[in-house]
Amino acid sequence: MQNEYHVKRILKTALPILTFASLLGIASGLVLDTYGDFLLISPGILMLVPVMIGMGGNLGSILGARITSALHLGIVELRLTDPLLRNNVLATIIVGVISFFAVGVFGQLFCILFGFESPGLVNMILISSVSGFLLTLIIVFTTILLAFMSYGYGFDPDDTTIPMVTSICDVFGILALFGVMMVVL
Amino acid sequence: MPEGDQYLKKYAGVSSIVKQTLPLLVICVILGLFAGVVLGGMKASLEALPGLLVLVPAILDTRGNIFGAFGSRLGSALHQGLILPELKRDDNLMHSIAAALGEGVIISIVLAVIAHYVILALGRDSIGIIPLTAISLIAGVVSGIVLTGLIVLLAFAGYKKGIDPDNITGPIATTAGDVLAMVALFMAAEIVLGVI
Repeated sequence: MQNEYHVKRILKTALPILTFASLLGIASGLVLDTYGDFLLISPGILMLVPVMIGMGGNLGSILGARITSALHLGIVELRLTDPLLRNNVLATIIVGVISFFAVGVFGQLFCILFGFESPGLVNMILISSVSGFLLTLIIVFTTILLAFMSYGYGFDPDDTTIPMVTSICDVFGILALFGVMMVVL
Repeated sequence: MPEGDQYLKKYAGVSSIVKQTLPLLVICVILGLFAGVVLGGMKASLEALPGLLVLVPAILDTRGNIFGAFGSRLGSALHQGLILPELKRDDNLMHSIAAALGEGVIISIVLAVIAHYVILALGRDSIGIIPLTAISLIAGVVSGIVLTGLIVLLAFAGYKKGIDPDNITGPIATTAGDVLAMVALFMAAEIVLGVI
């Protein structure tokens, strides 16, 4: 059997997109660092950072994988009345709303279990749900746009959509979390 | 278009998408919070090591990107029969692993260097390029090695039991990646704090 995978070839494809993703990652780190003092006062919210980033990435990659499969099958079109697009958008929003509500509930539980200072159950749920909802809308919009654009320009959307969406989610996830936190607290 | 019709009937319904994704995502929420607990517990290190917080999202994110892609390659290779689910020397497997670990090393260094200069350019405090690179590299390599082993073992075990590795390697890479990267970052910060 011939050797299909070669270190050099994989590195050549992956490194440019990983470097781009790193730049976006640093950008979200800068947002995090800007609100650092605020965060260190509220460890309960600091605790939500990895899970907000992670959930944003999960939702984006699931939607991305589904849209790219549909593009490859040729059964989806970029218009508001497309049934597959509509179902995917609706399902992502439903899953997003429930998951980010769960982030608030479990977040509060973890604060109690591990003795972190928390802004209270209602505020935790409010902050995670509202920022999660905003993030979900951003994810839906950017994922669909990137998948269709990649496909339109002749790139395999599987290679481009997921790494770009997860990185973009990081920046907006942290921005949404702090934006909403500042309004609520 | 028969495949298209079949896909629309089988996978495109709102309730089927919700049912297949929600349980896994709720598990991811709980595991992700453990990563948060580690971050919350790092308050003291974060205060002692200015600049470290800038690296956190980037390191978590690259775990998902590098090892998500590694898992995806492994899944495709298993489906195509290019890699057999057996733990023995195999060129395709070795090259895939080497590429993932190599990416991890290069990106860890790139991240620390970019972060350091961006922090300085913005007139903020950085602990310095050497400590920052050391933390990023230790955390990246330690979490990368554990994550590679975990993904290979779970993808092989799943494949042998009839579970599609494509369904499990992505969430494993992002969620286990977050937890492992936070623990490794915590360790690396402690080591560097001990040295300087």
